[in-house]
Amino acid sequence: MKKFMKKYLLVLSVATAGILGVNSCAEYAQSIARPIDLITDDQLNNESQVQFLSNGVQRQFSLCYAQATSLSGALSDEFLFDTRVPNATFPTFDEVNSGIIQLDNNSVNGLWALLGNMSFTADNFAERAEKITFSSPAAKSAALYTANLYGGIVRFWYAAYFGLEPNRGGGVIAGGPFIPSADMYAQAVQRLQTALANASTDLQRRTANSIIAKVELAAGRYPQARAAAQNGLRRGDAPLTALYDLGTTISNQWFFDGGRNRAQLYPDPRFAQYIAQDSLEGRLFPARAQGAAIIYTGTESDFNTSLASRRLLLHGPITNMGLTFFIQGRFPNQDSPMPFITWQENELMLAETAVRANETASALTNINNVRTFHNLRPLTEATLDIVYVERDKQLFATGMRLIDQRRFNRWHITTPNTWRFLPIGFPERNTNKNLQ
Amino acid sequence: MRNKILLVLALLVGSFGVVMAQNATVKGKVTDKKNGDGLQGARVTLTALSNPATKYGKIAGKNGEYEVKNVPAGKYSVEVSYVGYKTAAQSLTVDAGAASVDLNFQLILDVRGLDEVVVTGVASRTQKSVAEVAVSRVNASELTDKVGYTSAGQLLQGKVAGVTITPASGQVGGGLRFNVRAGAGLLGGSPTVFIDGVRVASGNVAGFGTGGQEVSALADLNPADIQDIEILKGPAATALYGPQGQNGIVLIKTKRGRGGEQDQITIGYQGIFGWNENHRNFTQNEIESWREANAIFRRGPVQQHGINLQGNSGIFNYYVGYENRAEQGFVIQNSLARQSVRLNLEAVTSKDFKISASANFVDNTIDRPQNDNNLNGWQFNTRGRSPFAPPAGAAGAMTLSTPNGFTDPVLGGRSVYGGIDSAAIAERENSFRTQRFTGSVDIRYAPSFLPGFSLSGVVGYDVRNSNNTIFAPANRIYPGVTRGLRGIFAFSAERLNFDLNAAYQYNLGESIKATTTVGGQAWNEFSRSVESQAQQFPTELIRDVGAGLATTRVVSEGLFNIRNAGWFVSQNFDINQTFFLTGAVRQDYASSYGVDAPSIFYPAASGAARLDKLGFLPEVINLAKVRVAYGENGRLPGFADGQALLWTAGTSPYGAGATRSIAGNTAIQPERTQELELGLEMEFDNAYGFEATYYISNSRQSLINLPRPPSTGLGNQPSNIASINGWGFESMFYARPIQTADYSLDLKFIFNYADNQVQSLGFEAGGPAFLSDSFNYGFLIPGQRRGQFMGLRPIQPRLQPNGYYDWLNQPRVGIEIDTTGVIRTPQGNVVGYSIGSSVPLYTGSFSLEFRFLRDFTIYALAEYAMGGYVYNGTRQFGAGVANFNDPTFNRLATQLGIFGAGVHPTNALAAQERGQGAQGLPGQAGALTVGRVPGVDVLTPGTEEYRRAAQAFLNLDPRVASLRVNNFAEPANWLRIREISLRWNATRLFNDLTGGNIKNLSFTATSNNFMLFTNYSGPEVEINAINGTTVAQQLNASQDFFTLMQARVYNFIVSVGF
Repeated sequence: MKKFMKKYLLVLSVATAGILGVNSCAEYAQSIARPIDLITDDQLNNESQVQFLSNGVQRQFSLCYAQATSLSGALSDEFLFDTRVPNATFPTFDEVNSGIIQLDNNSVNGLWALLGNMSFTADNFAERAEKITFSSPAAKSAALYTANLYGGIVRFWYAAYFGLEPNRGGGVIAGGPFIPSADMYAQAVQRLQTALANASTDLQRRTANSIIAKVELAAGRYPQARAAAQNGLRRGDAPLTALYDLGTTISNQWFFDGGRNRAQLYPDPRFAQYIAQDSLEGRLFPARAQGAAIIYTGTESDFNTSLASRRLLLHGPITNMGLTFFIQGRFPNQDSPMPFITWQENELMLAETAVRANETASALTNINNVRTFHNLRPLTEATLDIVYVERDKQLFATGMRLIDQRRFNRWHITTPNTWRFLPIGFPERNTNKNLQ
Repeated sequence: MRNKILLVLALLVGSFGVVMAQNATVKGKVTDKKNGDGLQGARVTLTALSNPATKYGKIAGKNGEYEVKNVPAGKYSVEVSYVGYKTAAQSLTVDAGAASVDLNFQLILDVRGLDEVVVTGVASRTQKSVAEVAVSRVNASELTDKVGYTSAGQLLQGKVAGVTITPASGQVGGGLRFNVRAGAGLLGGSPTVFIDGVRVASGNVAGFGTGGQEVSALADLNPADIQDIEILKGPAATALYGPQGQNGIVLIKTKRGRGGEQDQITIGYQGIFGWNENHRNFTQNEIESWREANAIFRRGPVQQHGINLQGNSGIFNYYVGYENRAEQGFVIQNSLARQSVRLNLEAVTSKDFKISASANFVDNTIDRPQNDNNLNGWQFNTRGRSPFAPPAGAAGAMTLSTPNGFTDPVLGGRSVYGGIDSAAIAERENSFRTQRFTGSVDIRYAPSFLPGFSLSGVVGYDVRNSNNTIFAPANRIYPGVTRGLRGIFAFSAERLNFDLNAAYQYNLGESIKATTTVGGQAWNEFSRSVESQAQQFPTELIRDVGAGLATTRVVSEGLFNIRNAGWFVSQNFDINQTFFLTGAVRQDYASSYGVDAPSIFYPAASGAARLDKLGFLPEVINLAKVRVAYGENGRLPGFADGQALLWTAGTSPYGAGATRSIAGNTAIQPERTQELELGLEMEFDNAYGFEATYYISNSRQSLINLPRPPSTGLGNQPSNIASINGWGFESMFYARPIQTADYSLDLKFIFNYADNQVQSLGFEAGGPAFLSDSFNYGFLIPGQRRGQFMGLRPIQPRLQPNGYYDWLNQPRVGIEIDTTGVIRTPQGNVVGYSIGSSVPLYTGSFSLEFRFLRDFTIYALAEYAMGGYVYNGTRQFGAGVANFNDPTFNRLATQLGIFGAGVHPTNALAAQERGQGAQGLPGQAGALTVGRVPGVDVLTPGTEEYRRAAQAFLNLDPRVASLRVNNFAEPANWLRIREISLRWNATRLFNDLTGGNIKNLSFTATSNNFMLFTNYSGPEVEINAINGTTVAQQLNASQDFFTLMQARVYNFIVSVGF
């Protein structure tokens, strides 16, 4: 009897343990430590999270900007690729530089993905700002200003830099259909107008107007550009700047793609010529190839002084394997900030639109406002050619040359059927039903 | 008188009692049936039929003689077992009053280990001869006497049908990739590894990157501690392990104490002395920088001392092992220093309970060199550039340093080092130290009051603390580093697993034994990491990360915790030891952040029949078994995959900002892989045999991170829409044609065929037409193999009217490609031709072990692979970008007149296209300095010879991505003499000469990776750039980009046992 009881108890115990075990499997699997780095989407629907959201949008802006300017610089006649430049090894840059770009070019596709992240983050912030209950109208306006300003900028980049065909510019928003450049520019302006309506300071208003002018200019809508620029940034206004630093994941990509750290791209020799013709345009800082390395010399404080006042800074000349080249020094460090819109660009937009409106005297004033700021000799005439060159110098490495070359119809690659926009690549084409 | 009578009665009773109490001695001899040799060490066990719990045992002594004393009268079953022999059993009756009974045994060699008990499922063990699934066992303890191994993974190379193991590189302590059968699921993956019941971390640990060289977690295990390794290969066999078994289960069992004579202690010492070296040198026909490439190699010494104690204290069987290994790789900065202590205990506390515990502590430091795809690396800098740099003394020339232990090549001061001095590479440090404890407790309870019932439980714990530090001194120049770099990565991880099973074995009638098993497993993984980096140090003398410039500091933290749990029920029938049937189901649950845990049922069924027991086969066939098994399992979704949208913090100068993290799929489900395997195993004359298995598998609702359109900004979406089929055949033939006292010969041949085909990526459901990674040329595309190389084919060179090869424009503009039969996506995008498989279709090995003059053994293992391709990215880079480092490219360029004064052909092209003049074209002034190969004539345009050179040049054209696969994916068949050794067992001679009684003394000379034969042009054909399961990593399987070749290792091993 005792033995029977032991058997009975054992079987009962095992059965009970089994049933409890089965039932607690799901509970056990779910009893995990909460992640320290993840939050759910609904947790952000609160005014206290707005600064966090705003930072996120600006972060995406910085990530995109340096990348966009280096790749658009490579496609334009602003920067060149040559394997004789030490450590210039990426065939993807070579492709962009030649205008014969494969759809699997991962540098191009990388920028496309960054723009997607930025548009999602900005638009998500804009939608969320409408849902959040704010403590004051001003707080809501501040959120909407940021969300729409950067939502407009990313649309500008889509329109200006990407295309579905070599000569058919435009982009895609949120997996939707292809939006040709003209329509995308219009969307950008619409967002920027919303930002303008929510601006809370004069500087914000002037900044938004200058960016609207920049977009309208790129779209070839010169009267609209002029109207906006007239309410844009003035001398003394701080530029809207993309920030970078040394200690986070946000580095200025020029440092790695066309700068002191590694130079996949080097500036066209004409920039050194500009300095040779007029030493006040910029400065050349010595550098040399040591084996395959580039050694940068010169006094850092001297360099930094020049950085503050000159519009062109180059390292070189450097000779390696028969090639003499320079390295851009405009954004020399991993944390060099990059202005997206400046009062100087606003002046040059005013100058161009004035010339196009046959107001050359006014245009000359605008051009010389910029030149005299850099202690350069004032010019005596203002033409579209002069504006074209002044923009080339003033806006060096800020991604405007590609747009200008197309606007002024001065394409540099003679090979037919090459890309004048960065191609929308396989990752989008293969997954976006609207493009198939 | 009365007293006398009482005394007589007492004596009678006493004497009767004495007579009644007189037990017998059972004695005899255990010998080898073929050669009659006595088998010292054979275990003889008598089991009383009246009470199976009553056992008497003895270990056979010298000449195989044994004697079991004091055996009461009765009926017994006597079983004799001996390692390497089939277990023999006889019935024995000890008559009352018998003083002794003689019983001899002649054992038959068990060439294939058919009588060994193997694991066939999560809670099932059975003899291999009746196993219903394909299971492989590797006797590690025999191998470690024959060959010196650094890592447990090496033990399995070439030993197991259906499994290939590819090392990451020749780096000591480097990672491994397992390919098990055709790979289950869309992305394949590695098996799960258990050591003594502990589910251990076995993957690679990345730490700070050195260019693709990760550290293998299996390098933390001392191979000398391993007794054997068993492998279950697919869902058919591993269904009851749940999702963790999808790509196989590796069960490592470490050595136990020997249950011999009580208090008898065996002490063993093994010393290994040897060196690592590059398995071949580069030649001048291969790369221009062959001198520099060879100059970084050295002989890296290997030294290991291991001591172990094994014994039986009466209550405990114990094994204690200590190992100290110091090893240096054949490239400077690569070394391993490992100390390991192991204690294994087995206690039989009562006849019902058995408790065993296993504990291992390891301290392992692996120093890694900068390698592979790395501007700071040895490979990139010595193989990526030609020596056509400015000569010494010229402007821009670079002076090479000579660090300790490293001799720079002498090339008139020319340098191939790109942007970095060789001394700077030599001073860069990457040290990965791991302290790891692995332990388990295993309790088995078989109550005597309930015969047939047993409970078993295992708790396993694997905890490690790793510390990866990097350092680049401030006084050296490094690409990507400003005035020095210091980084610290501290990683701690713990894994806890529980395994509880209850089994009840009972009879259903006279001929059917049934076993019902229920059980469950639970597993918890928790890890934390902290990383800190800084640059811009004021001096190279300080390496405290806090001394770096504050604004350069990067600090991050990670925490990860997941759990799995599952339960199963299994029912097994054994019909007359001839037919075997099993059916089972399992349910699993996985952690899921913020939503309900996903769960899934997986069924399994298997059966086997011993045809040789049915009596219709000739006697020479001692084993004929057919088996069939079906099983399901699959991967569970990631713990956050079920969330629609999660955010994280992205650091920036604006302050941390909201950054989209995972945009998941609320409908995500676990995937399901089904596998059916059919097997046949035969053995003839106890000496020749084979086992073969055919399998088919498919994964439906396979988990895939479905790429969303990048314009959504949402990243990939976990989805269940992909599917893939796999199939293959694996076989092993073995033979022992010679077996005498002085000679024996063992032969083994493994042949595997494994293939797969992607069925769908869910294009119709919104999935992509194909998947690839921009840097890789392996694709996932429906109708093709996983990771198939695809590319375009140029037809012929286009010649200009003047007869010149239009090299400058052709590859870029209007390239003429073969368009017939090209693969296109549903959208019409050209993917290209199917060039070849990135994974070999046919693999296997030959091995031979020949013992001669009784005490000498020659052993060799050759592994082979066929039907695979390797993408030679190193050659593509050398030809196209790195300035004339491919001699063939240079010779052809010279023949075509594409060279010039300091003008690389690519740049001549670039210059012309940009309208800057066609520099360096033939006939121009100043041509013919850099780039022209001396002694090679420029051919006349328009001639057939010129056209042929142009064709050859076109086929080396590295510049257009779509052509690269065609030009640089090479067939990569290979045969490698993986292991070879000569061993002298000097035990007999020593004992005879000295009259001693040592148990073992042997001397072995051995080599790993002794020789390689291949049609692949690169230095290393076994390529495993990264081990992982992401799309990019899977597609990167066979892409050679400055991969460090594997080491050839020579070792001398001394083993002594007392």
